[in-house]
Parts: sequence; C-alpha cells; structure tokens
Amino acid sequence: MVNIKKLLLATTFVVSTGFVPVVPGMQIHTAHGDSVKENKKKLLETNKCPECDLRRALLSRAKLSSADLSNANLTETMLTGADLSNANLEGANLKNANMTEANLSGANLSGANLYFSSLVRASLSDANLSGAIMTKDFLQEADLSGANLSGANLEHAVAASANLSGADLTGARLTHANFYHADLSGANLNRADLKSARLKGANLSDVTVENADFQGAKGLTLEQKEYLRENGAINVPE
Amino acid sequence: MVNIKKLLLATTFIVSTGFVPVVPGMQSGTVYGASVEENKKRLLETGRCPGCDLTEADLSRADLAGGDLRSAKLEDANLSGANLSGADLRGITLVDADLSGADLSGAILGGSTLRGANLAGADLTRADLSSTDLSSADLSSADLTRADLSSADLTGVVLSDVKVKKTDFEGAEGLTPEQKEYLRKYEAINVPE
Repeated sequence: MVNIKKLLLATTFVVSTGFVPVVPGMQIHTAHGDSVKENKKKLLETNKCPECDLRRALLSRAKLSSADLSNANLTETMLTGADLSNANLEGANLKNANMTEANLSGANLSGANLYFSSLVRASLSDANLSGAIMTKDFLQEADLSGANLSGANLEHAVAASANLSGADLTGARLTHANFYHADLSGANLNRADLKSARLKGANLSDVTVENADFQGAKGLTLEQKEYLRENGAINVPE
Repeated sequence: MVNIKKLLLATTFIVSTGFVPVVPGMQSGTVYGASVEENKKRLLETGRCPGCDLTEADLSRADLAGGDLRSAKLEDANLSGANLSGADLRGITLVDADLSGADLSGAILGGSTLRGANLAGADLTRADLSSTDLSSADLSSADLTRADLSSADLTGVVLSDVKVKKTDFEGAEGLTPEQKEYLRKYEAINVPE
C-alpha cells in the first residue's frame, strides 16, 4: 500500500502542477527544475520574485497583478492569459515567452528583453516598454495604446491590426516591422527608424514624424506620403 | 500488482512524453494557447479561433471557408487540401505550414507570415497577400490570378508555373530579374523594376 500511495501521490503531483519531475536521461528541466519550482511557488504565494529563475515556468492565467518580477529570468515562460497588469518587469528576460492574450496594461517592462516573444492580442495599454528589445515579436491585435515605446527595438516585429494610438515611439527602431492595418493615430514617431516598414492600411492620422526615416517604407498612400513630408519625415518614398 | 503497474505506466507516460492529461479542475492551457487539440476542436465546430495556438495541427482537407483565424499561430500545421476560401487570416502565422492544394481564393492574408510555407498548387485567386512575408515559400503551380501581393517579401520564393494574370506586385521585395521577367510575360501588374 505504501508504494501505491507514493505512486498515486507522484501522479497527482504531476497532473495537478503540470510539473514533470526530473529523471535521468531527461535533460529539459534538470539544471534548474527544482529552483524554478520553488521560485514559482514563492511568486504565487508572495506576488514577488525579483531576479528569480522562472525559465519555462507554466504560468498561464496566473493572477500576478502588480507582481514584482524585476530582472527575473522568464525565458520561454508560458504566460498566456496571465494578469500582469501594473507588474514590475523592469529588465526582465522574456525571450521566447508566450504572453498571448495576457494583460500587461500599466506594466513596467523598461529595458526588458522580449525577443521573439508572442504578445498576440495582449493588452499593453499605458505599459512602459522604453528601451525594450521586441525584435521579431508577434504583436497582432495587441493593444499598445498610450504605451511608452521610446527607444524600443521592434525590428521585424509583426504588429498587424495592433492598436498603437497615442503610443510614444520616439527614436524606436521599426525597420522591416509590419504595421498592416495597425492604428498609429496620434503616435509620436519622432526620430523613429521606419526603413522598409510595411504600413499598408495603417492609420497615420495626427502622427508626429519629425526626422522619422521612411526609406523604402511600403504601402503608404499618396496622401500619407504628402502628410509625412510636410511634417518633417525624411526619405519618404516617391 | 495490476494497479501498481497501471500507475507506473501512467507516471512513465507522463514523465517520458511530458504530456499531462487534462483532469477536471485543471484549467490551465485549455482555453489559451497551450492546448492545440482544444483549439482545433473549437475551430472545427465554430469555424472561428482568432489568436489561437494551432501549432502543428492536422487540418488537412478541413472545411474552414469564411472562417476567422486572425492572428492565429499555425506553424508547421497541415492545411493541405483545406478549404479556406474567403477566410479572414489577417496577421496569421503559417511558418513552414503545408497549404499545398488548399483553396485560399478570396482569403484575407494581409500582414501574415508565410515564411517557408508550401503553397504548391494552392488556389489564391483574388486573395489579399499584401504586406506578407512569403520568403522561401513554395508557390509553384499556384493560381495567383488577380491576387494582391503588394509589399510582400518574396525573397527566395519558388514561382515556377504560377498563374499571375492581373496579380499586383507593387513594392514587392526580393524578386530575381528572371522572376520579374516571367511575371511581366504572364501579365502580372506593377512588377518592380
């Protein structure tokens, strides 16, 4: 009976936590599995875990509003549908993280590394993403209205149908980014680099574009090109 | 002993595959992203799954005409022979997906990522493929009649035997001189210089 109980316990543990214990020959979780498990527990209990190792943690739909995760390692973490509103993620490593439909409104992500992460349909309204690395990110239908993206790197990001109205993109690197049917109305694009950006169907009404570089930008209407030239943009295509 | 064996088997299964069976009360991953099978079921029942994770899903020959898969993730998915005519696929990710022989006539694929996708023999007549990343995609024998490929990235694309009458290539990138010549010869429009 003792053995059966142990096995039952182990099985229940695996099923309920989604955490798979480390066994020899299984390399994925070996190096940091235990500490990640402990850190996840700590985070869910105390709502804070700054500088913690939470790599590959499963935190889908976790309630982490206003959590302190500054400088945490959240590489490849599953955060789909998680509530991270007003969370402190300053300097966090979120490379390859899945934040589809997560709520990050008002969160501090300044200087965070979000390389190749998914923020599809996520709410990032009024989030601070200044200086964040968002290269190759998936931002389709994300709400970035009023977000601070000054100096952020969004090269090759896909932001089709994203809402960037009123966002601060001062000095942001947006080369090859895809803004198909995105809403950029009222956004600040001063000194932003939009070389080869795709802007078909994008709403550019009332954008400020002082010294914004549009060399090789695609999909602009004649009216938009005229507006951009008149308002100080540079290298607007013919 | 039978019970112990069963439990051992279950544990071994979970440990070796990393697959955790869904039990009541365990909600994580059943709606968002993680459960591709749940999303597939939802899609086939309702024709809608915007933003869903359908990575590696087998949707070959599925009828998804007029469906909604905006911003969905279908990397490495199998959509060969599927009917996606008139579907809303804006911002969809179809990296390395198999769409050979699929019906995508009139589908809206603007702003989508089709890098490395297999679109051989697909029907893309009147499809909106503007601002898409089609680099390294295979479009051989596809029908692109009257499709919109403006501002598309076509670096390394395969275009052999493609039908391009009145297909719009305005601002398309990455075409070789030979491909441009072929497109002009078969009556494509706005082929870049």
